[in-house]
Amino acid sequence: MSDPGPDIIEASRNGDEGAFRCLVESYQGYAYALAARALGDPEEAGDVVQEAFVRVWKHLHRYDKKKKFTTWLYSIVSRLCIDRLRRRRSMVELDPEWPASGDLFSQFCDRDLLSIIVRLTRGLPPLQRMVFTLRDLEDLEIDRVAEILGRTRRSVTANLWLARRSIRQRLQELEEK
Amino acid sequence: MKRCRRWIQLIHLYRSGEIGDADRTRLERHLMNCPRCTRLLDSMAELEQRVAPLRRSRPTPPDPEQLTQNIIERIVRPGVREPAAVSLLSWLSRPRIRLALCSAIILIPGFYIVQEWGTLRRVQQLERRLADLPEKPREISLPGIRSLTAEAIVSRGNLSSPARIRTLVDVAEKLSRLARIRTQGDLAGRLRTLIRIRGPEGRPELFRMMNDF
Repeated sequence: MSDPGPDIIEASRNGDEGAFRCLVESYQGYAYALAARALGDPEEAGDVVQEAFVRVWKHLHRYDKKKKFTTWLYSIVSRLCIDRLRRRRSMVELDPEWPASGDLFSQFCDRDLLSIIVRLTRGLPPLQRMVFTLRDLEDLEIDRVAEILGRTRRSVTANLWLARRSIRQRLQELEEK
Repeated sequence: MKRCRRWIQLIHLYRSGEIGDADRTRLERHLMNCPRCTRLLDSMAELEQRVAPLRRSRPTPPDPEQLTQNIIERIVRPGVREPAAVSLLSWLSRPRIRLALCSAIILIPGFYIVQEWGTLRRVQQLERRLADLPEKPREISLPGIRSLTAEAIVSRGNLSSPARIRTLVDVAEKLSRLARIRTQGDLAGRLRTLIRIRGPEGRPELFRMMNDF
């Protein structure tokens, strides 16, 4: 995933809506994928993407050009997802329907994919869920995950192994059923 | 299993770049002699097999154009700040600025309150001493008046604050009343005039006048 050119950032910073539209069109897919995987809900993911880009527009003057734009965008999306996951923890999270296909992990549509992720990550603390999403589903390097979440590498690996341990146990339980 | 506890975390960090080379070598050596940890590693490999397709398949927005349109509509709404303008409010909302402002709000009045409290205590001490003076004012010696007035001046610190000047004048009035000074005009009147005209710069002159007196 490459970063946008400095011109498009500068033009958006100066209030050029056309340039900002290009920015949105180029990066909304990445932001949506991250939000959908983290939240497991397409509608909520759409809301998070909208909110994230409104924040990008509002705070573009704060963006540090030395850092990658995608890292900044991912950190905004991640924060919004963690907030929603925290709010959701106080409510009862419904178990989504398990996809009906034979081999669950070989062929699935988008909705199946999200329900599998929700099944696996259900009950994980928001930070562990986010670390797992960024590292194992988005396939980002540990250092990049740490930068996005504003955590140390040590904290990220600690959350990652706890998340994987829970998911492994959950997978075993699901397969035993 | 107890002795394996330290390896379990490392087994869960199985993807490249998650643990260092030294740890990996030690873990591999341990796995050669531990069937239980080897089974755990196998189950992690199975987990990775399950997760890999989820990684390859990327969810996409159902209607990307509509999503873009919704975002653009939200940013053009009145009230959404222009990105080029760095508003004072957003500048003030930065964590470092907020911390600095809160510190200033607490420290600056705090400094003045502590300073004022110290001054008030010294004035109270001085006034207690004045109250303890003998009833017959004529018995007060001239050096006594000098030292009390000088102490009052010193205890006030600089003469920049109107409240301090007022207190100084009060003290001087008490002194002059006690001493019944009539010569060279009223001492309090002279002090007041001096302070009003010269402000803080009048302080050395005040001392000189007291010495002359």
